[in-house]
Amino acid sequence: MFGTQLNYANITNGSEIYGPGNRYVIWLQGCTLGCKGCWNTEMWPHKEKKLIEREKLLSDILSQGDICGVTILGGEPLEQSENVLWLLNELKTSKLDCMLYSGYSYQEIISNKVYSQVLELVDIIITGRFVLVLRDISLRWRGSSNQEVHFLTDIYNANNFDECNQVEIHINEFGNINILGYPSEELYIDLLDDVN
Amino acid sequence: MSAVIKTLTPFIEQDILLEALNSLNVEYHVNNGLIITNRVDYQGHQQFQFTNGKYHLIHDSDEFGGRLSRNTLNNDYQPIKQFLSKLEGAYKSVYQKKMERIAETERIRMEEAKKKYVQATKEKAIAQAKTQGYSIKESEVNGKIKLVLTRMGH
Repeated sequence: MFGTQLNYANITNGSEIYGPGNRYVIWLQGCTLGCKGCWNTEMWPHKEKKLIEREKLLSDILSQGDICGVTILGGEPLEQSENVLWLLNELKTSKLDCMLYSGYSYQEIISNKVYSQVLELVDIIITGRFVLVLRDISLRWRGSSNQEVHFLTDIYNANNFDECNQVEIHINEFGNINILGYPSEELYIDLLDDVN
Repeated sequence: MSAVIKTLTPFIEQDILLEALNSLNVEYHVNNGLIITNRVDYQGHQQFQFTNGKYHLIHDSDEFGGRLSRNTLNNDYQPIKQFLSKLEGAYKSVYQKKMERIAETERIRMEEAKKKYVQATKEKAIAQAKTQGYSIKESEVNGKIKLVLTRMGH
């Protein structure tokens, strides 16, 4: 859609709640799945949000010294599959592990020739639509109980995987707040009450 | 599905906010601490009010009035979100320029005010998280504070 550029909504370098350890996290722009109750409806349109050349993104990721992995979410990463697969292929030769969130089910991914390539390139994949009636914020890395965590390599496994609710708050030098993760309604309201 | 929520840069300094409004050609007058702008919505003039250490824009909670004004009286009306985003950019730009030209004592005062606001914001967030049973891991990277809140589940 944008050649060798990725259309993205947000990048956070140094998040600890989207996979194991400290990670470089990229929210891609655009998702046609349209799950009811989605927090990130602003990330649905595929129209240009922020563009970054994939080589530049790779170089930025590799220049970070204090991360153990990369997480790609969105939006729907597989709807920019050509550039996502390119990026994951390049990262395969680095020391960084990779995790990807998709709203597609594992079965849907396996049965798609293009999407299924991602399974060879990531260490962990989270799959499945967000289902509002199954919303459960006590789950690690997921928002609803139908969503699945698949450990695809031996770097990580389910043995050390404890369910928990996680929220991350970043406060910059101006006092801007970024809230990431799965805040309870009470926490979300409390935080925004004070900052807005 | 996870949240990504970003808040605006807090408008702490009145003179910087006024200069930022000037740069966007927003007319205003200051009355009893309120900065009353020429932006009009269904509830009347939109205005900035200083509470909890920063200026908040008071406006109609939906854009009905804005759309009405834009369509009938004011073709240049920008929706709130777009306006605040532009104002945020202008505020930061004016802030940086001011920091370059002002005397050391004033620069220190402004830096201290900013730090104080950030500290208060952090403390409130920690207090609220603790109330709700989260454990908190705090770290600082490149001048940014990161709080990781965890609450064990099942």
